[in-house]
Amino acid sequence: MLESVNPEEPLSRYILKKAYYRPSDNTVKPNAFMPPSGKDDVSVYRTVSLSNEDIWQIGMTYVAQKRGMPLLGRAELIACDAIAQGLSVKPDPVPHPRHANISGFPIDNSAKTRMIALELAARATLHLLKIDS
Amino acid sequence: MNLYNYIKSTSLHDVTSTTFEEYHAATVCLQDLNPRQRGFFLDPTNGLRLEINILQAEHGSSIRQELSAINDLLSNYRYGAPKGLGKIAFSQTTADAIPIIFRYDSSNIPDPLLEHRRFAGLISAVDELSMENSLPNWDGYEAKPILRSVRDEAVRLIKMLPSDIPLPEVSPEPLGTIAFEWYKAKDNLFIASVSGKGIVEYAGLYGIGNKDYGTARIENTFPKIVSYHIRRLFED
Repeated sequence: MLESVNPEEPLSRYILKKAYYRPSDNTVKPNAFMPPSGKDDVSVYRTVSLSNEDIWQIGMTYVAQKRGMPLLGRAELIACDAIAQGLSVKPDPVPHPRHANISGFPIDNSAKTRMIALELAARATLHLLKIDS
Repeated sequence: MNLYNYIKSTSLHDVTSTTFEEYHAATVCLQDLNPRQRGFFLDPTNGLRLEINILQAEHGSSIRQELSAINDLLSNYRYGAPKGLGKIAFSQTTADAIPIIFRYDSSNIPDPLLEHRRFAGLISAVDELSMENSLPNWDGYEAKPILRSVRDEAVRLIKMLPSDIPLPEVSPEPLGTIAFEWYKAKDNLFIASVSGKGIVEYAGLYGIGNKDYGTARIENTFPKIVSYHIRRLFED
């Protein structure tokens, strides 16, 4: 298991739906960073020191295949981008030692949650699987 | 020669610079008079839209009598005679027909037919995303399904969109909501989202560090605070 998250660590949010990115300019949409109803966190993977191939392999094995959906891409953030929004990044080593959650979304304020998601998406970098691999 | 086509192709040049500010009043009057033919055209020289109503004489009456009846009606109209309507433009193309031409700025007056065409693609996109994401967990991360009530509210909001506001992209959200996105760049965008509860939630980013978010109730018109923010996004 990795130590607590360093603010400079890269994080990947795996994308399984086309609706979560803009193919026109290869950018991430805010909905990719919105937690579902009743939850205050989104699932990410810590990718520091991993090869590109390893990063995709985690997404395919522990995210896409587990859900029976195709892996389309990943939105990459630096942990401090989330921390700057008042969120925290907490290690959560299930189902994989590199799994973590970006936590602290305001569960009772979806307008503010959306605003935070806009900020995260603005700072994220999109990597599409077919281009990257 | 087909009278309607003839007028359509020639009368645009007959229009003066008079603007009929009380277009609605005039239209109501003309509807009362049951015009036989009417059409909407775009004036290519200035981008203004023209409405052309062609009145044809009833049996037993002359065009002059009908024109007189229009003017009488307009003078007694409860909002007062529309400005400039004394200068009804007409060209005597045949013995029994008069084209009456109204000119107005299309940005202020929605026309149901054109609005329908404008919104058709967007409504179709809403329908498509509603169907595609109608089951729970559609994103693999426990997203709520897009319900029919959310779809209906999205369509309702689309039909309220002011004509000077560009059409947005639509996306499903994990909350079971539908987002309308107006996008310039990833740090310069505005999102308005509906949940089927009569509320729009919005969030906008206008460059790093410049943001706003909130909620607005959906009444009978497009929420003013939302249109304010969208226009703000597209300001130079």
